[in-house]
Amino acid sequence: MIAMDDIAVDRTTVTTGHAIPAPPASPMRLPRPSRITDNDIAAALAAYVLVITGMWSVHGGLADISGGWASAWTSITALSGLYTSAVALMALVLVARPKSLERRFGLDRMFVWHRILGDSMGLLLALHVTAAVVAWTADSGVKNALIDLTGGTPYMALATVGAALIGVVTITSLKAVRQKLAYETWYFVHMLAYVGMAISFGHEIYLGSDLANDNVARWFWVGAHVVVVALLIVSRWGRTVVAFLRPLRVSSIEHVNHDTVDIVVAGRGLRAREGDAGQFCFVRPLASGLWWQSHPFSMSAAPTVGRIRFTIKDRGDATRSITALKPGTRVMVEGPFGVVTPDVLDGAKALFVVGGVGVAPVLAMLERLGPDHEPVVLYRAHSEKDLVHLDDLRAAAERLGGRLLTLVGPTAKLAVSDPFSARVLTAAIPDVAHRSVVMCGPDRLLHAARAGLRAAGVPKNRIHSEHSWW
Amino acid sequence: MQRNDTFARRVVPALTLIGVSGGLLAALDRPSDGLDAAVGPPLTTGTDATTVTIVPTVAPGTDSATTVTTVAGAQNPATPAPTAAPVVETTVPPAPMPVACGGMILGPTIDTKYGPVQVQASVDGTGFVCSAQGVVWPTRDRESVSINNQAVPLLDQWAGYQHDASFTSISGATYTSKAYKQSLQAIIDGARA
Repeated sequence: MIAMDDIAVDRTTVTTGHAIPAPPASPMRLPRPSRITDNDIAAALAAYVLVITGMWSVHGGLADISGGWASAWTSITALSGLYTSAVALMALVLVARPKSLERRFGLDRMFVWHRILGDSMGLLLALHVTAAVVAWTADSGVKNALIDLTGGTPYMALATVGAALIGVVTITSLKAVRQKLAYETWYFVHMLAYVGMAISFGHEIYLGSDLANDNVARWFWVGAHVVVVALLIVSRWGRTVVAFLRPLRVSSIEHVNHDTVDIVVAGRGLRAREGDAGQFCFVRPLASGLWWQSHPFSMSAAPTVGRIRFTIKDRGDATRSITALKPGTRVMVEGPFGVVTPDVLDGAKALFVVGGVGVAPVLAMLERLGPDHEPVVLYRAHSEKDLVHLDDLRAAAERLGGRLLTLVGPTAKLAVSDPFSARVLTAAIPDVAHRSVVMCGPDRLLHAARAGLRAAGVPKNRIHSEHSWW
Repeated sequence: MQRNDTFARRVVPALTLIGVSGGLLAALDRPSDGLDAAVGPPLTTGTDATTVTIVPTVAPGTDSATTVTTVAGAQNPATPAPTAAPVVETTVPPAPMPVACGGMILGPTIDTKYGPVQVQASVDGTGFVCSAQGVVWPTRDRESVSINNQAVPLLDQWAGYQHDASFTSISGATYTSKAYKQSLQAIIDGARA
């Protein structure tokens, strides 16, 4: 096994591929697999939905639906209100990044679910507000209804402002709007969801007909919120605080081509971590102008207890400042996260489809493979100069009885019209259908490659891809 | 591009929203101290008003049969009847006076989310309500007690003012209002039959 973390220190040992590498530093402890099963999650979700719907029904919600216009809308207000908060809590659980869920599903999928839950919460909130206005209007006229609902009743001013904040957060997270905003602008606005939820809590307890009069229901509700807040503090923000208190330092930084650098960060803070090749970390350099930005980067070498290496391409944004960091700079590193590790290969022969800087996790994973995997690396880049760590890749693949295939040039100039068609793939890699595939690169490449691989006979469950982190 | 990418620039929108929220909150937050007294029926205070003094002999909350003394007549409102403590004094407009008000009839108990509501009322043969009184109302929690202590007297006033069960619900006490009206309506329907 090549100790990739030593590369940065002495690259000459690797570039030839023949020198005997130094004994590897002890690898980071491997993450334990999650013990949560699909059944656990289904059961927890079913119980959650059942308790909330039951709570509403027991308090007469279901009967009220058929009890006249105003009472039906009051009942809908109650149910949609309960579900707005219930969905919000689930969305918060996902971003609290609990290890058990992260190990099983991966952060990228959890973020997607968070977004779906967030959208649902926005719709439920709209329904809740509309139903409340309709119900109160039926009872006391539009004017009184609006006065009562926006501030005439205790806690309703807070709830109104809270709903407005959640509305802003939901709208800024719509794809069309979010694309127009800088990531941090969006992120800081997004944090207002915490404020919105917190200030809306009072009206739930004071006015929520399901909670105000039922001690059991109220304690369940308060308990659920306490649990989620505790999870956020321990799992989400606690880790950030630890990363801040025990920062790592940039130990070396060097260019591997015109716009890409290898950054090695080291520190004692890594000893307690669990991580594997193929994973990524959130990196926040504690340097002037950068401390408020945290971005995910894939590790480009299997992590050790002493150091982590990233390979980062300058893409003209925040990555430019990161590629210009000085050795010794303190860096907050959270993670590693991610589910695409050598384990997903399940012992089968491996095919890696790599696009651009997506090479980083593949470099790391190759370190951890055995000769059984005979890895084939299909490396796609727009030009020769965009290829990085080519020698390392070739050496690592050939050491394991595999090979490196490069596919360079603009798509229009390639010899074949679709380099990822089943015909081309099968011709280049005859046993492609029997391999486990890991893809890493831009979304377009992932889509094209997935289609071709499926057509070439690779089963769906043997194609793994990691969202293209920076 | 990097020049403009500063923390201050990125955090301003969020801080602005916080500021706007604070302002909005200050502008909106004016919770009425419980129910608005103005939701009661207009009280006529003219000298020609007719004061109906009702002396309930049964404390609210009991559901035993009631006997009620109804004193109708042109008393001088300036000198209210110096009767004993549990007197509910209601001033009603002089307009259509009932031919004959019956004794207090206990209406059915109506269950609401927050608890039962029951009304007793004196009505004439046509369903005209001379007076009404809530006798049972939700008291499960502090909130209900505080709401209904204000709402039930207002509902009593409305019933006596409107002489039927068609008055609007009191905002903030929707459930009690609806049940009150339902119980009262049952008494009216019973009298008409």
